[in-house]
Amino acid sequence: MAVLRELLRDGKFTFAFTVMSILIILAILSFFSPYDMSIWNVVPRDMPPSAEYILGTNSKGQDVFWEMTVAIKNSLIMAVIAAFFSRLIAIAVGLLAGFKGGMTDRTLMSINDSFIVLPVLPILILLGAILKERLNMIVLGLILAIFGWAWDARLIRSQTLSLREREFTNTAMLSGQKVYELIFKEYLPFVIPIVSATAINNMFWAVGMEVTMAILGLSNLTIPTLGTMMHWAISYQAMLLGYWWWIATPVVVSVLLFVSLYLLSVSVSQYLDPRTRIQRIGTAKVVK
Amino acid sequence: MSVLNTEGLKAYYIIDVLGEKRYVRAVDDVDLEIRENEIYGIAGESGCGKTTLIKTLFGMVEPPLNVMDGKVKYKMNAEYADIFAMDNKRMREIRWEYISYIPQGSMSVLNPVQKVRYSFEHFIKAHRRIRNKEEEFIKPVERHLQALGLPVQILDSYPHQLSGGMRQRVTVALATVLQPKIIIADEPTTALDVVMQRGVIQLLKDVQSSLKNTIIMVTHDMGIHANIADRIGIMYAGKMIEEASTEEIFGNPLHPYTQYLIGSLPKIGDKSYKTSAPGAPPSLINPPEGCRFYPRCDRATDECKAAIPKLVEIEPGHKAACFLYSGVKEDE
Amino acid sequence: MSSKLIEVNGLTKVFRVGSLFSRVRLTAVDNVSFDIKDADIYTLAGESGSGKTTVSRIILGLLEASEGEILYKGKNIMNIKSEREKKEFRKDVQAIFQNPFETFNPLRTVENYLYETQKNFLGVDASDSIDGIEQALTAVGLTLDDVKEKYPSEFSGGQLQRISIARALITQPSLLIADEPVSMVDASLRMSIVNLFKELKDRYGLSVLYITHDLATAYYVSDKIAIMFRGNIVEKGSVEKVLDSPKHPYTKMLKESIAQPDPRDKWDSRVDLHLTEREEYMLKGCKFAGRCPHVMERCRTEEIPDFDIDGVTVKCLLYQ
Ligand SMILES: Nc1ncnc2c1ncn2[C@@H]1O[C@H](COP(=O)(O)OP(=O)(O)OP(=O)(O)O)[C@@H](O)[C@H]1O
Ligand SMILES: Nc1ncnc2c1ncn2[C@@H]1O[C@H](COP(=O)(O)OP(=O)(O)OP(=O)(O)O)[C@@H](O)[C@H]1O
Ligand SMILES: [Mg+2]
Ligand SMILES: [Mg+2]
Repeated sequence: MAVLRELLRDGKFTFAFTVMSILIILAILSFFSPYDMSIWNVVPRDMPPSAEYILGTNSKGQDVFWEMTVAIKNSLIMAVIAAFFSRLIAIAVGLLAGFKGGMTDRTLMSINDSFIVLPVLPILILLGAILKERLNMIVLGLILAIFGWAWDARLIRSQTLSLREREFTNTAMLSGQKVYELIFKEYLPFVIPIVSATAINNMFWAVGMEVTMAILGLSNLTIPTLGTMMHWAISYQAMLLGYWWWIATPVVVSVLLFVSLYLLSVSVSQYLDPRTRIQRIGTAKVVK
Repeated sequence: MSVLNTEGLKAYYIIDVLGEKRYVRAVDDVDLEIRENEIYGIAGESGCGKTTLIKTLFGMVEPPLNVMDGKVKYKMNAEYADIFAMDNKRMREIRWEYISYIPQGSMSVLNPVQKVRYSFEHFIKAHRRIRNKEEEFIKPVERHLQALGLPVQILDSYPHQLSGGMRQRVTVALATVLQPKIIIADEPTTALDVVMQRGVIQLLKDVQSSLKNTIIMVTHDMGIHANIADRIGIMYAGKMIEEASTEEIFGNPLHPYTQYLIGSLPKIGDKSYKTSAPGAPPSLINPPEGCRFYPRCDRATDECKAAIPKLVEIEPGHKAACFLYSGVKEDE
Repeated sequence: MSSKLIEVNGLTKVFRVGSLFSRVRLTAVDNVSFDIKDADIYTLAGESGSGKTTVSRIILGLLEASEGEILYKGKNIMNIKSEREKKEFRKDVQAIFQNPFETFNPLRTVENYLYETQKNFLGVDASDSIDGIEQALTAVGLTLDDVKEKYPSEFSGGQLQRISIARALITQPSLLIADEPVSMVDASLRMSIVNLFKELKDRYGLSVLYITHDLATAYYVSDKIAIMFRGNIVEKGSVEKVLDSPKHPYTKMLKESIAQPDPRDKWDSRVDLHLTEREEYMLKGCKFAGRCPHVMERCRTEEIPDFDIDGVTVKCLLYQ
């Protein structure tokens, strides 16, 4: 809580935090949706926003507001899965390569580098085309995780390499710490900030990828996501026909999501920067 | 004749701890008079404010450091100019040309990814307009290096290729290439071994005797002070507590802290037991009232707890701030 | 006469340095032998880049030697394979480092290291007993309350160095390896740290391998000294004999380089600053030949043997 209070003193963070909270509340609301989103024509079609249908209805006969809540939920879940699993891989590979060095390092880093240079979009398009209907949000999240760890693993590796040369590594060994203790107790606190800042970037990237694939029609279009909402709106020519609420809703939500993720990543990485963190540790105590 | 003096200089770090302001009184009411053509040494325990004082003398005052009170004056063209009254442009002009600074851990002066030559070039271009590179840049720099006994080839090395001692000497060369009137150096030898230390000190001395300028040098190595300083100021917890010629400081220290400092120095050929002052230096956020040394002083009286002794002349040229020698108090 | 605690015989360490295409072999430690007795303070002195840290890292098992043996209480520690024996040795031989600000992880509280050391070597959990920790802290003039819940940034360098020593003392080691423990602290703290070594030696019979380039404190605390230069021990013996009347030209120069804290005793000569460290390492024969005022033709070509003269071992042809 103290951390949150500290962070909330930053205006950027406060804004992003508020927006993100609203989005999360909307995502939670999806569980109370009166409609099943897989069924079409449950409400009158193409109605503009009104008291009954807050954000109007679409040409498939669905309520745009409730469709949006489900879309936010699905996009967020996918992004969190992608970010979480890619972080796991990045931490494991980065710490191992950095700490072990030598042959392990070289092997892991050559795999790592192939993932860095791999052209992600064409591969995703290919996978999307093959999997299509079987592609649910969890699978997509995991696939994106596989392509999202390489940069971070590199960062973590170089961080670990320099940590290994620092004197406290020797102190830890002389205190009888085992290798896994050394890694978890001594190194992880340095690695977590890198990871949490980039996790947000990674979510940003995952949402963007999903939108791109959906607009191209390359994902499972039966699942409502920010991307598929846009896809349907575009393919029913919502713009042309003047159903602005249908296309505007996912676009505005995506923009809000992107902006808040971006601002969160900026302020969190500022907060977690080891240098300022160490200063804070020092000065925060002076009060007593 | 003084080239630089300060009057009642106070420089505090202002830190904000969860909305509450705290003052670290790193330089607290310091009066200095640095003479022309002298090497002035500043000694004192770690954390007593030496670096802060030196930064303030150089006008390098950036938050959280703030000058609360007092003046720093440079003598320029027979007049004294208050540096805190100067604008930034003027300040930039006189830095390095009039006064130059060798910071603590000064490896940072050299750009690590560029050859040494580049650092020199960058440095000189910031102050002089160079039209003819050969005549106005390369030759003078090479002459300068040769005069200091440094090989000219170092210009084509990267900083990481040089040993610590060599790098430190390059930094000295860089800081003196514009022939400043005043050089201030903060712990220029601390990370170096004895042989390198000697090389750097020799270099500083050579520079001083050829330019006839003033060097203000901070170090906690009393051996170095004994070797090159003309006068020494002893700092304790943000204040100057004693100032005298080097011979006097070593031969006849007055302040109990200085006596501890001098008495605890180990020497080859002397195995007798030596102790340093008991306890630890005080916090600069909440320094003790009265004399800041009294909690560690075995000759402290009630007077020492109540009032702060003022730095006054006890013997000709020898100042001390201690009630054992004079009753003059600092007026708060 | 007390027995030998640790005996280093013919220790050699070769590093391969340089870029991929111009690899050279650098003998950072070259056939070094010395021994430390019980309750002895032994100094390893010499300028930067002479192999002092390399020796200490090999003894601590943080680095592998290329050749030679280290006998600890008669047992060759280089052959230790079992985890249990390794731990035994770690418990007996502890170390402190040069930079007190780097000794502890800035993101962890320092007390953690004290608890871990007690737990890992003595098997005593901090929740059961903290006697050992308190004793160690008392020995360095601190209490547990001083260090509780504090991060390294909240201590001064001297305090950190004391905590670091306290941590090492928890296991009640027989040998403490101190690699330049005072080079980053100021004059007054310096004395309190070396006095602490003396006290620990007198009270607990601790031996210390004191690595430094500060000959004045070395003279003050130690019994024996070895002067190292570019991988070789050039002179070794009792500290009074070696430093009061140095024999090897390098020791002489080193002694002269000290800035004496006495304005009546200023440097009168100039030092000759030398070839780079790497070049000196590559020399055949005596590595000091490039700077030596007494250099002879043979010094540059011959392998220099050790000579014993009045109780001091000197690696110099002048004493043949
Ligand atoms: N940026 C800062 N913010 C807050 N306090 C500071 C800052 N920099 C220094 N201090 C404090 O100011 C005091 C004086 O520091 P200073 O660096 O001037 O000491 P010093 O005498 O140069 O010590 P050393 O010998 O260790 O270099 C110290 O107590 C230090 O903790
Ligand atoms: N891991 C390494 N790889 C290559 N060379 C090394 C390595 N470690 C040390 N050296 C080299 O070995 C030589 C001796 O180094 P060492 O650190 O033992 O010296 P030292 O006497 O401890 O010096 P200092 O006083 O600077 O600490 C140096 O030339 C150094 O560059
Ligand atoms: Mg300083
Ligand atoms: Mg070393």
